[in-house]
Amino acid sequence: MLKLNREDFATGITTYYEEDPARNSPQSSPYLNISFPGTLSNPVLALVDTGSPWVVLNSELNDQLGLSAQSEEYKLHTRFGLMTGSIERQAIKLLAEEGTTLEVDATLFVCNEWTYTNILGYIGFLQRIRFAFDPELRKFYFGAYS
Amino acid sequence: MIAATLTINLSHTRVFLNSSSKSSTRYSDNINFEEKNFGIPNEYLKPNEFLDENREYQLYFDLQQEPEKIKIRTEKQNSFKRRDSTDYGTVETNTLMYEQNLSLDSQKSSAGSQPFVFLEQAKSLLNEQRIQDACSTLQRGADLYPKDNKIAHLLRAISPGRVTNVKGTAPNRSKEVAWIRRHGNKYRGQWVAINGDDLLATATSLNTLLKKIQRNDKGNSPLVHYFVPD
Repeated sequence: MLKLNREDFATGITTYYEEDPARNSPQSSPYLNISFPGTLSNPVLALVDTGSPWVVLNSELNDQLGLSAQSEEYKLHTRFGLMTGSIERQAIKLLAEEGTTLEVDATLFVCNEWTYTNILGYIGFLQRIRFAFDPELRKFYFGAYS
Repeated sequence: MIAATLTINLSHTRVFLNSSSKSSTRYSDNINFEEKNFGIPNEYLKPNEFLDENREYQLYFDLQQEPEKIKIRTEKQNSFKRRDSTDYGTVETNTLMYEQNLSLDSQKSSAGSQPFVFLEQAKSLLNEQRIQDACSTLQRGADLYPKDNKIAHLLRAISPGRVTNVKGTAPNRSKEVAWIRRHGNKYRGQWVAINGDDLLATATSLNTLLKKIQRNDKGNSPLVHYFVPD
């Protein structure tokens, strides 16, 4: 496991996938496996996107999680245009291939129009954990911080 | 502390607040809007800054002392011609453009109007991605109105929550991702469930897909993926 000052920096490791598997885009972006405690245990792919403040999930995933936007009070600028939705809390599992899986109370931007890639944003998810990339091995290291 | 809202048209004006109470009258011609918690959705004014867009704003006040009335006075800037490097226009000083007395008793009797102030401020800040400021605003609202469900809900949603280790690991999904790359173009607009190299089910909705794979569940949880249409 990855160490920092002789202590564990990360408690979990997983492979990340660099190409956009949905669009076959030549752009390299890291995708991770996530799942949701409770109602939806099947893993899905999600893009690590530090440019997005929130987690944004495909609207049908939101429906399965009982998170359909009740109001459209909030705005989010995306490459598909200005989206409106609500802000909600949802636990997300970052699945480890080695070590332990991490369950994060994440902040979601719930948008009924979002039918695109799932996104792990910075403030709503990534800022709440430690993480590191190893591009040579395509490994993503992660853990909780005190 | 009390809060109130008032909507006025502030085209090409700057704003003065005069709040008077039984014990004192305070004028605010040198008010710092942010320090005094003067919030305007989508933008914050610097002291004595002129608004230059012709639209309606909603002002929010947080006052340390409950006043009997509030007067809003605005000054209009009547020229924007630049004279030199430091002078950007002329001002009709002491020209009363707008004044309104605000009955705070009627505001207080309107259920939910005061928590609404904090929610609107927080919404504006969140839309600007000023998350820490939104948290602070909501925390102040929660302190004043601890029973307000909307404030509590939004504060909980944006606050850093628990991060916990969960026992168990998940399999490597390189085979599934390779399958998605090879076959993606055939399934645009569909949900698929894949386990290793095997396509288990397809459907046009996630709900239908999950019902199909529940019937065919053989123990290992398949990767679920949606192919965005062209």
